[in-house]
Order: sequence, then C-alpha cells, then structure tokens
Amino acid sequence: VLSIKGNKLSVFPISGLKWVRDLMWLDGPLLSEYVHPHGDRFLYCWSDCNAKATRWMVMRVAEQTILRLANGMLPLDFVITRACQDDFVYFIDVLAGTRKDTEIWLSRVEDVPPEYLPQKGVFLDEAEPAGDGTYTVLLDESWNPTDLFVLPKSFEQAYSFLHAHLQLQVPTLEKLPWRGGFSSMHFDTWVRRTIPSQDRLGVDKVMVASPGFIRFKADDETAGHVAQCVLNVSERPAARATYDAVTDFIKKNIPQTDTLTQIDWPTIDPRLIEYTNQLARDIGAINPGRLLASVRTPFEAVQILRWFYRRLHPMVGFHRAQKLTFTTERP
Amino acid sequence: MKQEMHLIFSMHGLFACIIGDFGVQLKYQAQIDEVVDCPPEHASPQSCDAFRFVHSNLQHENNSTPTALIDPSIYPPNSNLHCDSWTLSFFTTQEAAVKKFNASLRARPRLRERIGDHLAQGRIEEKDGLCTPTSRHGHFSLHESVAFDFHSVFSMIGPIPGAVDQGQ
Repeated sequence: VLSIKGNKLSVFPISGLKWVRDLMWLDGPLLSEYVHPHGDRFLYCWSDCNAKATRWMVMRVAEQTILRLANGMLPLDFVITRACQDDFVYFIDVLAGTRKDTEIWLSRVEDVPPEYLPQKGVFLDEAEPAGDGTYTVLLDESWNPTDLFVLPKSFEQAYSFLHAHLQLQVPTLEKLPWRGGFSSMHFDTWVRRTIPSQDRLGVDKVMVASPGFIRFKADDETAGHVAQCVLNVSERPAARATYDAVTDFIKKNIPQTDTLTQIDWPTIDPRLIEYTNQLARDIGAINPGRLLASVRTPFEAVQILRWFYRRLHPMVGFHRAQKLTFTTERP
Repeated sequence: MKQEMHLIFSMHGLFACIIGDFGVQLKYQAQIDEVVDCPPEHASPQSCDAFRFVHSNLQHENNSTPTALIDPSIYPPNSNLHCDSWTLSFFTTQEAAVKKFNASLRARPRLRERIGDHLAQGRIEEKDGLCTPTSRHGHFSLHESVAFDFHSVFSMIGPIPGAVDQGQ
C-alpha cells in the first residue's frame, strides 16, 4: 500500500456509522454509503490492499450528492474527493483476515495520493437502491411552494392507486362516476383509504436546495412503477394521443351523465375495452384485464385510467421541465 | 427459494441435506441459509461461456473463492455479508468483462491489487450451480454447486487489454 501523508490517530473518531448500501461492487464492495445517527452521510472508498491490510478512505459527503452519484448524474471524480464536506479524509487500514482497524490517519484532502482518486468521467452504472422502504425523487431546479405541494400530492394519488391495483389487487374498485369535480375527489379519497395505514405513502425527508430531493416512505417497487408511468407519458406521445382520443370518444358518445341509461352500451363497450387496453399499455404498469375485472363496466375502467393519467400529469410537467429526476431512471 | 429435503449417501454415511428446486446442491448452502432471500428466486442453472477476472497465477486461491471467504477486511467496517458475498462474478463475453474492468480501474485505480488484472475463460454448465440473471452489462453471479471446480474448467486468456496502461 502507498504511504500516507497525515496525522496518525489512535482511534477512529466517528462512532455509530450504519451501513446503507454498496454503490460500487466488483467481487466485493468498492464504494459504500454509511449514515451517522445525526444524519450525516459518509462514503467508504476501497483504496488499496496488500497481504497485510485493506485500506479504506472515509469522507463526509452531502446526501444529495450521493443520490446524484448513485443515479449516474455525477461522475465519481466530482465526489471523490471534490465533494468531501471537510478539509480532510480518514484512511483506515483494516488488518487482513479480520475486521479490526490497525492504523488510522487524518489526511488533508490535497494530500490524498493521486492513485486513490478516480479518473475523470467515471459514472456508477448499477448502484442498488437503498432497499430501506424509501423512494427518492431528485429536485433539480428551484421549486416554489405550490409545486412542492403538488408533487407529493400527485405522487401519493398515483402511488395509492398502483398499490391498490398491483400489490393489494383490490377485487372491486369503487365506482367512479363520469366527470371530474366531486366524483374524482371521492375516488382520490377512496383509493387512499384502501391502503392500510402502515403502507400509505409518507414523506420521510425534504431537502429543498439546488439541487435537493424529496424522500418518500414507500414500497420502492410501487414507487418505481409510478416513476415509470410518468416517464412513459412524458417521453412517448402515444399516451397523450390515446388519452385525447378516449376523451373525444366519450364527449361524442356519452354526452351527459344523466342520460346514461339511453346510451347504446353494447355498441360502444367494445371500443371502450379497446381504449382501456390501449391506454393501460401506453401508460404502463396497469394490468388492463385485472382493471376490467374489478369494475362493473368498461366505461368505469376507461374513466379510472383517465383519472390516473390526470394524476400523473403534474409530475409529467415537472419531468419535462427537468425539475425532477426519479432515482430509478438512468440519464 | 423453495427447498426440498433429500437423503444423500456419501462416504461419511447417510445424511440429509437441503437441495433447491433445481436439484443443485450448493457449496455454501449452510452459510447462505443465514442470508435472507439467498440465492435469489430468479437464480437458475445456466449453460454458457463465462469470463472471470483472475490474478496472473491462475492457481491463486482467491480466483476461485467467494469474497466472503477471501478476507473479511474486503468488507468495510460494520457492513454485513450479503448474498453476492457467496458467489463468484462472471461475464458472458470478453468484451463485457474488459469494459467493466477498465471502467472499474478508472474508478479505483489500485483495483488490480485486489482482483488481479488477467482474464480467464471457461464454460459453466447447468450442474455447476445457480446463475443470477445477466445484467445489462453482461455480468452474472454464480452460486457454485458442490460439483463445480473452477480450476478444472477455466483457463487463462491473459492480461486484460488496457489494464496495463492504467493506474500504474
């Protein structure tokens, strides 16, 4: 191992660090994230080894920086050691064959050997999610209070529906009457109440900065589906085209809510089933067969999909404006 | 993974062991029983060509040893061994392996000290264990069966192209 320029310490002065996840792995961890009980984040960077010891470089780094690193938005050399929040790093030599520290140094950032620094332009490619029951959305630009209210609200509505549909597989979805206003609000409330309280989306942490993030308490699989639906609508014109076509079809063929009994349903139901399949496919995540089986009529299925599409729309707008990035999307 | 109890005859007599759905007896079954969801449900027997990073001496024992058994200091303090700790890493193509190695070397320039800078090639058969699905970067992990012998299957290709020019 290389010689270190720094002050030797008798003990590692930070206690209580808890492993969060490995950010780089190749036959063992190369870069791992830790959290201190006070919330500070630390990176353990595998740096060197020989027959006697493995050397780790430890530095304090802002959580939003680690999130961006893990999401492939920042190259490694922007973080090690440029994003170190202190003027120093620690080097820990762990005795080979044990997990016991043998030597610890405090070293100034500028004294870190160049052999321990990443080259330019290296991005992490397969960092695992934290798997801790949270899901993080990165906030990329300045956010006003209204937007900060809208984002968690629309995320929660979409998340609750997908959780009910995909995880709970609720057999009967509440009847959704035809037009917006009170009926849609009623459905919002019903969907949320369908979720057991311990499974409901919560906000774990919000950091509004440039850049910042919002971390939800969530099932990361369902949250990932919400993100994928937003991306599908944001990046593909098909979903918008189908939504507009469905809306136009409803306006022409189902003009009034109080004349529903006069409508020739056997004639238009097959088209509504086609639209249900098409819109579910365009949005993603939703199983159209299960959806159709959980409602009384194809009209209800297509209305629920239209409701879901509208709940995604604020997030689609934020994504298109590059104001947010989902941690499950790759740049 | 759903498991079944089988009776096995061995030179030590009759004993019971646990064999997975695929009838593959894993080399480190007792250890991975301590790890949640290990091997992952989607791991399965595969038959494919495989490439692995090795030290220049192909007989180096680390070449065929899961990281959990190589050296505990490979893991940072207060972290836990996990399922991958009991596997061997492979790539499905030489190109994928070289690309990953050089990218990793650019990230951690002293990496060759840990995993070597040579490449070995062999063929993994279904009897050799359970493979995780191949990642988009061509990587998969093998949970070795008791029958798998790395050194009898894998042969040295040589130094990894590009590795010699970097990080020295």
